[in-house]
Amino acid sequence: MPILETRGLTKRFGGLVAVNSVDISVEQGEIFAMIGPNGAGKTTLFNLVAGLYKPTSGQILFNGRSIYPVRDFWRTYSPPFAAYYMVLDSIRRGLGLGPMPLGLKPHAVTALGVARTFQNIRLFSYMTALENVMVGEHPRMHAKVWDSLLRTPFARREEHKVRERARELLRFVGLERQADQYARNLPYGFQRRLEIARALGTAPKLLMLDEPAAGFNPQEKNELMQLIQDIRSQGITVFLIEHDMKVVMEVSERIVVLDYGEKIAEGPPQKVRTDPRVIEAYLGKSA
Amino acid sequence: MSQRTGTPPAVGNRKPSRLGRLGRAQNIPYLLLGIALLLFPILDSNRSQIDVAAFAGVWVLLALGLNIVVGYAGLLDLGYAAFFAIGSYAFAILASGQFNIHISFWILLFASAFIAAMFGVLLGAPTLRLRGDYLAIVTLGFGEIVPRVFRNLTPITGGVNGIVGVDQPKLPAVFGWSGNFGFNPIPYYYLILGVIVLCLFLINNLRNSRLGRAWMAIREDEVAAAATGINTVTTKLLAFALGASFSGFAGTYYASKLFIVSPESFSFQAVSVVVLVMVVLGGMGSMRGVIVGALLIYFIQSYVLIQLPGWIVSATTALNIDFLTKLDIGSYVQRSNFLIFGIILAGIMLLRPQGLLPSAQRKVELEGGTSDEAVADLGSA
Amino acid sequence: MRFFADQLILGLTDGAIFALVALGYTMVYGIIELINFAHGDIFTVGGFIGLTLIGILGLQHAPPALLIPGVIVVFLVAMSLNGLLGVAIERVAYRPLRNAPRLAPLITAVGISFILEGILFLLKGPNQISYPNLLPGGNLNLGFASIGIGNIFIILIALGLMIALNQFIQRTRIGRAMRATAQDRDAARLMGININRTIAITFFIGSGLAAAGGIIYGFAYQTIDFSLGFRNGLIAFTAAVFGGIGNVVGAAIGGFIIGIIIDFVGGYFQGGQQWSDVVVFSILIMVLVFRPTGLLGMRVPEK
Repeated sequence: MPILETRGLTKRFGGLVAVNSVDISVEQGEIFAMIGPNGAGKTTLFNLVAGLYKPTSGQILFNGRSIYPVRDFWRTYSPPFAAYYMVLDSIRRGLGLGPMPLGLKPHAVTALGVARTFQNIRLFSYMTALENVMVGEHPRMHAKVWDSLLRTPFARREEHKVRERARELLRFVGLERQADQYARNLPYGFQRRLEIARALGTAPKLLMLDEPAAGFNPQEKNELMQLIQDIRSQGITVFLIEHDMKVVMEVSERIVVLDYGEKIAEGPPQKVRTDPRVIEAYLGKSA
Repeated sequence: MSQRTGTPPAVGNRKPSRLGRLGRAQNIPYLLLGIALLLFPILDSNRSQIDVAAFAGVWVLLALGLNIVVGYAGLLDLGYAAFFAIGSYAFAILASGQFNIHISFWILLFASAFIAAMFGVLLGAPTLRLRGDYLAIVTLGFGEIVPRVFRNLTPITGGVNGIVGVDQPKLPAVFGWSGNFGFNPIPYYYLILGVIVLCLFLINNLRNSRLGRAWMAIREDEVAAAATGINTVTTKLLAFALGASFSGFAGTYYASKLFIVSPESFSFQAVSVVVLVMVVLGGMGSMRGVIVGALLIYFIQSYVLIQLPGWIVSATTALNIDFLTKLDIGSYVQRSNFLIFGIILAGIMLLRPQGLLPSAQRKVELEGGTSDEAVADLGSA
Repeated sequence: MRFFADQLILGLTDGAIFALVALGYTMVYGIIELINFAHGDIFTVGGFIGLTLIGILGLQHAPPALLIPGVIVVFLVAMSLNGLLGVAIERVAYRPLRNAPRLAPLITAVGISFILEGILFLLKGPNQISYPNLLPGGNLNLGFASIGIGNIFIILIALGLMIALNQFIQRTRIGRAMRATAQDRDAARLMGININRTIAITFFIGSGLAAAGGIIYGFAYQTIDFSLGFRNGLIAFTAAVFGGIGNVVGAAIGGFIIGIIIDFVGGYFQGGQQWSDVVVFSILIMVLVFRPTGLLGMRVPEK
């Protein structure tokens, strides 16, 4: 079973179709890359999966569970809302309007096990590197308001555990020396890696990286590829958008190519590289 | 501290025992201050000054509560007075001759905090999905509605006259003291001191917890916060509800101390803005700053602005500046608190957005500074 | 029927005032996404400027022939002066914070509101001050209702200003620049639009319209005081939200609707006066919760 699957995923912004009926499936444990010219709809697709945008139509499944449209109301919402949505949903279906356009909110998607980084780094600039990762661990903490208010032994233990785990993650991405620096004061490359560490903090099953190698020199790119391999070897599936062909071809096992919102090719790197439609999309018709 | 690398240090090293921490040099001023505050009513026999201090505590409490909302979660709440009013009225209705219900103060102190928090949730749940500036205007509207409702619901709230004869706290008699608070300011002083210390403890815990971090994250980047699995709506709602509950605490105490509640005491100008000025002046997000800001503004309002006309009159007559005496500057000064508050709000935001006594983190954040400092000691702010 | 018509006219008159103030809120929000809390007080200042000008020109005692040009001069001068006040506030208080965290300009706006109120308080005192009504008196009898001629003038002046504004925004180069800046400030800058000047013009127009609203308020109620801006500002903001913030036509329509609601609630319900504000603010909260884009809104305030 694929860990992430989209079926006929479409997103319109007014008249512009940013993502047009795209089917992709990311297999458990692989490194999957999405490429395509600028404006092909790659980041839009990420945002759709992450719950930041609501699809115009189509379906998104994570681990076999539909995260858009939401089908299991009782598992997702508190009882009164679940009942309300169920009634609306059956009315809509009865009228032939399709299912209720309800998707999981971004935080709920993250809690299910989808973590992401952003194309233009979005760290908490005025928090330390360590705190950034600790924020990442938020969804897997269990301290309730009372624990926080009273600083119960449980909260203290958990806090300590989380801090240690965050340090471990910083070590994993090679930032242990920068733990106590403000995120904004870190050099660019470190910021990218810190964002990955923060995403790993959420204990993801699927890690989505949006152009992780942007602005990197060859040395940094090599380190990044190593890091991606290391992440995968921990059992985390990696789904990345990348422009740098060298990185994509070397690191990924399967590639999907988007152009003008549509999927034009899919397969292993060697196959995609020689696909005439891909070449055409990248180099123009004359090539 | 920033050089800590490799193996994590043993826990014992990082956190000395609680008693040990108390004795650290940096805490000595706070210890002395604490002792001074405890001894104040004994050393100072002037009851009216103790009374002033007991009222000042209300504002400290309000400022600490609003600081959670504005300082930690970064939400502008312009209707904070509403929760204060709800706390006061909840107490006054359930502990007065109004309906002849007399529930114990000690129960209601927490119950009305809970009621205020519930109203915070009721208002916040639908509106916190909106952008921050909409929240400001919705809370402003709510802050206007609540006193009006209290004024117009005469059968329940006593209308314009409010509720007079609110119950006062009682304790078991000790050391020859009857245990009745009555109109004696000293027990009230200790009560508010105790409540403030409790709140400081709770807020400090909050700030260094999972929840506190989530607030900071939301304040900085809501999208990124959601992407790390923080439910932004409930987290903001918690800030709102907790802030409201501190206001409920303050309301209960205020009603019993004042012996009466009336709708006029909870307007935007009289409470919401004043508390906001306290928080902004002291430094958003800094507990120390907010306390100092609250005391400073309270002092200006209840002492300087009242005394100043007298000083000016005596100064101008002493210096024989005739035309100034005729101008009646005194009454101008006394009426100028609007202007003073406005200047503080705008001036602080434009010139020193981090406030007088900023917290380490907010300082850099609001200054947008570029310093490279490590912040290992952030927790002590 | 007669009572209904009376309330309707009253509502339209109030609505004209709210609409003029709401336009300023909506324009400023449209262009820099700031709720200009000071706008309500800018409205009051405008009313006072008008009062001062009337006093200087001695219009209360002017012969009817001079009255019409006199009133026009009062409107023009007061609107320009108030417009300059708005520009000055933007320059001093808001522009330095344009890239600051969102909280900063909002708090500053609250501060400016208090500064303006404080200054008016010091200059004019806490009491209501009487305001001359320079509009023609008398009633127009339509059989089923009689309408105050002054009210008709008020509604016409407001409508005239709104139509002029709409034409300005739709037809002129500056209007186009304003629309472009509202949509995408960076793109507008790249297209060679002077952003600072465009924002300043927006403040100028918004504050000018508020001054017109202030003078009309004085004519209608024949009284003015320093604290008018708080309540009226909040109501006008509600009108702007109701119509769809950022939308000029919406603000005008919202103003009239809110005005009518207030006067109907006040007129038809026992003790309705006390509750009309509660109703308005409840509408504000309801609209924000259930339809944050308002009646005609184009921008979605949700993040």
